[in-house]
Amino acid sequence: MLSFAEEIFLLALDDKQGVIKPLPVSALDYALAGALLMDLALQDRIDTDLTSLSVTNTQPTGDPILDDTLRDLQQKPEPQPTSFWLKYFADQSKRIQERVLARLIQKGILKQENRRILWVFEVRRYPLMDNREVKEVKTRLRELILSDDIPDPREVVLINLGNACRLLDDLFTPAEYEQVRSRITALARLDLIGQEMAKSIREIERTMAIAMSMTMMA
Amino acid sequence: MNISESKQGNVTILVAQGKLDATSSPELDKRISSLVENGTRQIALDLAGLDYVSSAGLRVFLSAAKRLKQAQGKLALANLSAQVQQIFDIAGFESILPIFKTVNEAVDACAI
Repeated sequence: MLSFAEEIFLLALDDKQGVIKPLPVSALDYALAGALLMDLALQDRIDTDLTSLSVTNTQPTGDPILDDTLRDLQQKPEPQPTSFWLKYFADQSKRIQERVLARLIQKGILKQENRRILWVFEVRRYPLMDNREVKEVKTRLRELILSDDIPDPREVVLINLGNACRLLDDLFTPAEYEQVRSRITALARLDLIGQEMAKSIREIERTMAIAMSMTMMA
Repeated sequence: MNISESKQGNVTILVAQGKLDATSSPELDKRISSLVENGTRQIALDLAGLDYVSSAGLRVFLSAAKRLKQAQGKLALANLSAQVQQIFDIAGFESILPIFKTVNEAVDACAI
């Protein structure tokens, strides 16, 4: 089974171009941070409530990225708010992305290609070698959202991550998406870490929009 | 956390008391799983004595609701304390779980 960080990376990848799709500012950074925390939560290593996140089990998971995350979470003697840790890991997103990419290449799901544009600029692309996992996740999420089924906790996390990065509209026609938008919002609310992650992304977007409008007015 | 069990007709009433967090949630999860595996299809949860629910606790309710729906059963919750109601409101759990003020209402909803 793929980790949430791997799943969201694959969902965010334009499989024809082998590059990350255009996403809201910082969305992938926070989605990867949220993915790590939600994986640890579902593996019973951390727990959260409306005020804080605490480590409940320090036993390693066997996943090196998650275990480094778990180790970082133990650095603070007092429990911190979930938003604190989301920012902490979002700030390390580049390093996390590289590790996630390396894992997906190692698993034979992606391959790395270096191309030159105008014989000068080297561009790195990551075409999909095996799209079964991505297809399966997209089909499962589409069916779940179109039905009135109750999601399991893992599906809630995937909906949350996809919705935060605005990737779920790709699964539907525009007319369908209008119809399921409120169900997506309701399902994404069911996870507290996911709610904090979405809130952080919205706040950054709002700040960026204000900064841009002030620049245009100046 | 304490869990006690009683029956009203075909409906099993589970009374959960204390804190539902990462430490205690496996106990409630196992209890509900075991009931469903043994054929119980209607469960009313009396949460009057539950004064704290964390993310791990919320996932127990989500999994239980899914499990019972897949088995064509019913789960209803009743008697939420103000603290628990707050976390349910924020997480929007009323969209997937029927929540009632009294245990009798929850039992009636399950029995239909």
